[in-house]
Parts: sequence; C-alpha cells; structure tokens
Amino acid sequence: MSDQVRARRLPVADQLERDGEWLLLVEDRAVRVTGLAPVILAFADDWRTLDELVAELERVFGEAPGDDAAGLVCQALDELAAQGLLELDVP
Amino acid sequence: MPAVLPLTVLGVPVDLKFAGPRSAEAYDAFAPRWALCHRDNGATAERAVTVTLGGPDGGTNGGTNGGSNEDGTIGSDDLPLLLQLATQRVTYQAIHANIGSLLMFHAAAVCHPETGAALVAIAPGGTGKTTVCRTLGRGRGYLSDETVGVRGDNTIVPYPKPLSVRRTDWDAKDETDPRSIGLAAATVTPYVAAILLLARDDEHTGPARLEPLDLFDAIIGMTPETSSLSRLPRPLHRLEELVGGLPVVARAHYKEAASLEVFLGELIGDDR
Repeated sequence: MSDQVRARRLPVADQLERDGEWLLLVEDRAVRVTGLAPVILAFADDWRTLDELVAELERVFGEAPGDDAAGLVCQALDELAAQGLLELDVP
Repeated sequence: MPAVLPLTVLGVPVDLKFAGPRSAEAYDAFAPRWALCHRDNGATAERAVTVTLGGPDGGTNGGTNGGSNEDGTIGSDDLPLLLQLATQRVTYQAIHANIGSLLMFHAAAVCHPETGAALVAIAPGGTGKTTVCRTLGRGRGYLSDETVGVRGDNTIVPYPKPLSVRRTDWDAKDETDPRSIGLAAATVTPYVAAILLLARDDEHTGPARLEPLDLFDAIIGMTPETSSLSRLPRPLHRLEELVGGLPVVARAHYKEAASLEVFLGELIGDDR
C-alpha cells in the first residue's frame, strides 16, 4: 500500500461501544472491532493520511513496537476496508 | 364451503383465498393446519394469498407480491407443495408488513402456559427449530417454528403456524396441524425470557451444553438470523436492550432436542 494512502470511515447502521471494543452494523451484519481499529475509525471521520493516522495511534497507544508503524496501520486499514468499514484513496 | 380463511399472522390480518375446481378440497386441507392463526374478525384483510389447487391456473406465479391490496397467487396440482408454498408466501407477507416495527428472528419459541415466559430458539433453516417445538412444546404455549416477532417491550407476537416438518427427501416439508402433535396456542401474552442460539451437531456426545455468550457475541450470533434488522431504529441498541435484560443468552450444543428439556425449568420455569 502506498504511503500516500488516505482513509475515511464509511457510515454504518448503528454501533455499540463497550470496554474499548466496538460493534458495528453494516447492512444486516454485525462486526466486532478491537485493538487499533476503534481508534482508527473514531479518528477517520474525514479523510486522513497515513501519517495522520500513525500519529493519532501513537498519541493514544504510545510508540509502536518495532520500526514499521506505518505497515501495521496499513494492515489494519486493509482489514477495515475489507469489512466495509473504511474507504481507501490510494493514489 | 367458505372461500376465504381469515388469519392473523405476526399480528397482521392475511386472508387465504381459495380458487379453482378443487377449492373445497384445498380449504379442507388448509383450515385445520392454520387453525391456531384463525382470525375471528370477518373484515376483508388488505393482504391475501390466493391458492389454486389444480385446474387451468395450476402454475405458480405472483412471486413478487408482498404489497398491500394485491393478491399473491400460487397454484399447483400437488397439495403438499401448495401447503408449503402458501406458508412461505403468508410468512413473507407478514414479515414484509412488520419491517421497521417488529424485531424478527428466524426462530422457534414456546412459552410457559401461565406466565408467558418464552424460550426463543434461534437457528437457520433446517437446523432444528421445528424439532424443538415438537419436542419441547407439548404442555406449553406454541408461538412459532419459523419466525418470532418481538415488540419494543419484549413481548412476542405469536405466529402458531403449521409446523413445517422436513421429510426424509431433501427440500420437502409436510405442513402439519400443530394440534395433531399436541401443541396449543398461548393463552397469555408471551415475552422473551431466554434466548438460545441452536448449534445442533450430529457428532455431539454427552449431555446438551449451554455456552454463555457475552453481549457482543450474542448479537453477532443473532444478527444473521434477523429479518430487515437495519430497518429498525438504532437496531444494535434494540438488541442490546433485549439481550441485556435476559439472565440467559447462550449457544446450545446438543444432538437431540429432548436433551434441552433439562434446561427449560431454569430458562422459563417448570410447567409440566
């Protein structure tokens, strides 16, 4: 995935939050998201760049383990996009 | 011979109408099977399904009906098939009418005959709903073997339809008069007291086991077996209100439905 990728949250029918986890209703399918995903979704209420997302996650969780924070975020973005929760703009 | 069988289906008036040269034979077959859904109010229903047994109109059509003031028309020379098609069409009309108001599950339900405390057993088609009713329903109130509609106050709208008993040949069902196997309609207002997600497994050994589910796992398990969930206002919050107020929401692992009987006292109260 390009470093220039941007992500924006897609609308859902409803959502619940409990203990840092989110449950989202996409059409008639309930999807549970945990870990980085709730923070990404909360922050990506408008188009966010990869750098902005990494910075937000480091603000919430501290510095990422290893030296590939962007890679971890890209992986999370791919998963969220596959679940219909995010749209990606990949130049 | 009346040409119309007035029914109440998930709270919705639906008329079964009979046409064609064998209409009397068809009426006699349908009337006992739908007896628990009979509507006393003689006014014509806005929704109707017209059944033609044999005759020149024997083909099946009207497959897209579901709106008001329109007849769905089904026909066949095969009475068991016609009974099965009519159940599907009537159910479809009632579900369609309740979109956006009732919380509807693919589920069986039976209730305590005096308190109305109901077990709702959620499962996909062909995985045990009718068997649960046949096995656990006697002496209790029979609410449905297919579709359970829940109002905003968690009371249940009964739909004591003909039981759709699967035959040994695949994809065929015998529509069965619930009274013929000892089932009776509820005489009190039923309400959701417990929810089980059925996980019947022919390989299961030992006694039946209930696996408690947390709120999110319960909702994730329930949503695939809902009808038009996203058309309800705040649908996940609605499910949270339902599940959060129940002492037991669990996945039931079992082989034979009779093995679930031991849990019924805890779930809805002893009654027989």
